[in-house]
Amino acid sequence: MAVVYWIGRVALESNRRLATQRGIIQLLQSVDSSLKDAESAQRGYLLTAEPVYLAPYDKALRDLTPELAALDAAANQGDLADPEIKQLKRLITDKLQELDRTIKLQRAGDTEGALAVVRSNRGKDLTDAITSNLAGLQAIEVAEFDLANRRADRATRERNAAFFASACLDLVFLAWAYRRISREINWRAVAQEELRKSHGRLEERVSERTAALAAANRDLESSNAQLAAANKELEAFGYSVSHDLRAPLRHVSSYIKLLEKNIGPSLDPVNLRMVRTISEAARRMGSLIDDLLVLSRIGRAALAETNVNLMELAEEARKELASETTGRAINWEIGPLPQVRGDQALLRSAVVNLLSNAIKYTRHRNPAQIELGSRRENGDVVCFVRDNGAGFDMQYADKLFGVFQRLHDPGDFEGTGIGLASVRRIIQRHGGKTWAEGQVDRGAAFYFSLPNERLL
Amino acid sequence: MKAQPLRKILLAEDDPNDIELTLMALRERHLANQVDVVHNGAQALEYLFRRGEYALRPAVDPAVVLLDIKMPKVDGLEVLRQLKADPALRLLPVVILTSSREESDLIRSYQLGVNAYVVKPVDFDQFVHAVSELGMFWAVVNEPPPGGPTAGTGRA
Repeated sequence: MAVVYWIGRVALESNRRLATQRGIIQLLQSVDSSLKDAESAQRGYLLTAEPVYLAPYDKALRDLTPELAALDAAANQGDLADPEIKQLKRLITDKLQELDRTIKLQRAGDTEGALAVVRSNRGKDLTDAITSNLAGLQAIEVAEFDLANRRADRATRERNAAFFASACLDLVFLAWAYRRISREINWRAVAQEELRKSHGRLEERVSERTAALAAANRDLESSNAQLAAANKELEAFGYSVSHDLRAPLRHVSSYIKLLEKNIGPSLDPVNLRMVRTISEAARRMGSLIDDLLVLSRIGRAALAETNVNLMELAEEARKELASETTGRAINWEIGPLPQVRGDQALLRSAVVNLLSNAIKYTRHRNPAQIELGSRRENGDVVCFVRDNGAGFDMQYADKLFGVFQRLHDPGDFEGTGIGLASVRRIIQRHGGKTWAEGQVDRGAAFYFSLPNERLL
Repeated sequence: MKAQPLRKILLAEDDPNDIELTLMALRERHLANQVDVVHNGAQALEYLFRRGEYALRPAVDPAVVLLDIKMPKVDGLEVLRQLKADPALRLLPVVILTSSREESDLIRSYQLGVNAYVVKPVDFDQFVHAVSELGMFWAVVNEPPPGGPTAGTGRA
């Protein structure tokens, strides 16, 4: 745009110069014509002495005055070369003085004197000089006019070209902008469509997920209901074991005792042994049922959480087991043990079970070593009961904590095989783990962990 | 043996073996002859409230009720509830004699106001010992609440 503006300015300037040039050329022609009028009027007056010729002479002089002033102005503005103008004006002034002198001589009646001046050729020389001077100036001006004209033409062409180029550029820009905008509009439409589609897909997926979630919820609810039913069933089973199975068992046990009482004295040793075997089996089954019920209760009952001092609890457990240690030489090593948050009765049962095991399986050691200690592992509390007893084969380590799993013959070490299963259940209820290490005849170590947040 | 009229022991038990074994145990202390036996909870309630087949029973409350929990028709806990809800009969000593060691049964029984809860031992000798001591204590040693011949009468 600046280019177009500049080109426009150049064109305007050229036109203005052109007009000035034209004015100067006319001015020069006017001066020439006025001088010629004055000279011809002078000649007429000199030859005829008729005053009628003085009127055009005066008019020419009057015309000259503003024309000369215009020349000065043009020279001052730089439109005409100053020296040439000065020279011209000097010549004109001389010429006008010569005319004025001859006119005055004629008026005074000295026709001969006036004509003598004319004949001297000085006037003609002046006129020639002026004419030549004017012609020169005119030629210069005409040349300059042509130049300016050409320049103006070129400027106009340039301006037109610039306008055209600019218009073309504008068109190109408009086309580009149009394409950009329409592309933008298209893109927006596509994006909106895309958005709408993706929104639709999203809603579809949300509703799908919602449906899936609802289905999962229904499944979960039904699973929960099944679980609740299974729990109810388990409780019913526990109750049944506790009541319905124990009653006939008690009857077997009772009537075999009565039988033994009534006919025992008359029975031979073989039959008596059979009767006693039945009695013992019933008693054993009774204690198995009792242990099972204890285990099921551990799994079901809510934890009665209090602050438990494991050190005190271990001492209590040792006193509780005093009857099992009479006549035994045992080196106890207890503690240090921390205070924890948990179910006092259950934890006590776990510790009693572990210590009871240790006492049992060190029966053939003299002295027996039983250690109950604790350490920190990854923030958790790990308690352990270590002994120098019968130990076990590590390949059966997993079986140790199973229900009714025993690694020793009942003849060697009595027990129902429920103790460690109870320990595991109790520790699981407290969020901990149980494991064991051992070696046949080299002792065993039983571990249980309690999570860090239970440590007080 | 005693000057005052012999007060009965009511045994509510559905299992004939248990009835026989219990009577056997009470016989050890010569208490068997004063035992009245009912075979379910409905019968127990009729006996205690003197209605139905027991409408004409003499109006003397038993010294103690030995109550099994799991019985046909009406179970022991329901019998216990109705007894303890009755203004006259609620002072009557009731002992739950059961095979159940279930915590829920224990809690419910004590909530209803049972006077003792005894789990029948599996071992016969222990069973005899427990039941005979029980009979001895409630029927002989324990002083029953003052009630006499009119207690529990006229109840519908």
